[in-house]
Amino acid sequence: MHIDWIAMGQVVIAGLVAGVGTVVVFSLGMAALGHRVVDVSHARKATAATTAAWSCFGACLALLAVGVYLIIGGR
Amino acid sequence: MGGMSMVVVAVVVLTALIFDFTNGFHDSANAMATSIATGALKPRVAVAISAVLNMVGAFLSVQVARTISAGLVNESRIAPAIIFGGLVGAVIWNLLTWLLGLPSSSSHALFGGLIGATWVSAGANAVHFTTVLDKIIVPALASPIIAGVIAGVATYSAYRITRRTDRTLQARGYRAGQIFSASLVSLAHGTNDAQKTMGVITLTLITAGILPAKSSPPIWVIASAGLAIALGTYTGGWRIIRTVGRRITDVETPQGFAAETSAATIVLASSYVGAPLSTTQVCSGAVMGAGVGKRGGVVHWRVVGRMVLAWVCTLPAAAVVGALAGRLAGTGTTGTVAVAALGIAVAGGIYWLSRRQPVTAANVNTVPAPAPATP
Repeated sequence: MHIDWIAMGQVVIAGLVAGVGTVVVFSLGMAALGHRVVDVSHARKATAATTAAWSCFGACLALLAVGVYLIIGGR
Repeated sequence: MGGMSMVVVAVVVLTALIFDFTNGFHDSANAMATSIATGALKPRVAVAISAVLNMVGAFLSVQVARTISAGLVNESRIAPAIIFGGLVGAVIWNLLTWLLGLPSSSSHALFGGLIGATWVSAGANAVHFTTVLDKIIVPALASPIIAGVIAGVATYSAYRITRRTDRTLQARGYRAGQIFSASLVSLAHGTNDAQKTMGVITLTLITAGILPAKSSPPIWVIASAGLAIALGTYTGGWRIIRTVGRRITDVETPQGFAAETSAATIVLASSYVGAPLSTTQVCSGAVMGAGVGKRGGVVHWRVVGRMVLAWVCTLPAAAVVGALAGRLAGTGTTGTVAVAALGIAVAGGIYWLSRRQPVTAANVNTVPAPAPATP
């Protein structure tokens, strides 16, 4: 029996980095968006929160694009 | 393969496409169950998106198709009748688990059916058991555990990071994210699962001498396999969607997003490595992980237990049906017709049983009576 530990390890690392990573970045975006709502309701400038939120969501879209690219161009 | 008529080859190809259809409606739950449960997508919209992306996915990759037709069984030893028997075993097991609302693996049903039919008809040494173990059973055991752990960590992180965020905003934000994550799962599913049917049809054409050994699937095979899985997906296996979306755990949008993102990543990574993994087990494992990862989350382990039991039974059960069907079909044209008739009768019976308590797009999110105390 030959278990391909390297392949298995690659799947785990991909899951932790790309899977958990995407969720973390998206969640940071959500938290920033929450801050923005609070800032706006207190009539404060919300530029920093807004920028942070959309940077996070942009990064998620980029990760999504990487996923699609891996399907299309990966082989 | 000696003397097999084109008619038999045509029957096998048709049965492979029927299997592909059952694969589609069996697995629409994988991508869309949590999105439907959280209301991120309306049921009909969800299955329509999933169907289109499965179709697209079918065209994007043929790596797994090659793995299956070139390594699982000894191609020089099996006839189209054996493949037919294997497919019948897979279709019947898929229909039975659908009736029970259990998200079992269509891959395992197919592999089991093929292995059983090959074993009985061509002998045990025509089955490459080490390949079966290394390429199918080990990844299948590992994938739900890996998916569960990763989805659990992702869910925990999501709730932790957004713990001070307004609940309504949180629910809405992750609901939007779920549309993307569910779509990616569907696309990844198409790249994996439509290929199994392509692999089987290609294997049939190779054994019938129509294609040379180790051929890639021709374009009409890719197109028809993609179409069959898309139609199946659009039909929607509502019974299984209800189990995965409502019965494993009460899925909230952050959990749905975490589960789908984790599942998509794992399916893609495994597909990239070339392992024909069970998408079903990855997705169900991810939903369980999402249930565990939320503080105070409740996972209904009795439902999980039934699911795991179905997973364990899938390969051997499909192998037994596949062996019987393959044996009978191998006796000649009369035997093949008899198997087809029996298969249609069983499928009709299962459909008739399902009509007594139909689950549709309209009632997919309502879990009627509390689960009975005895299994």
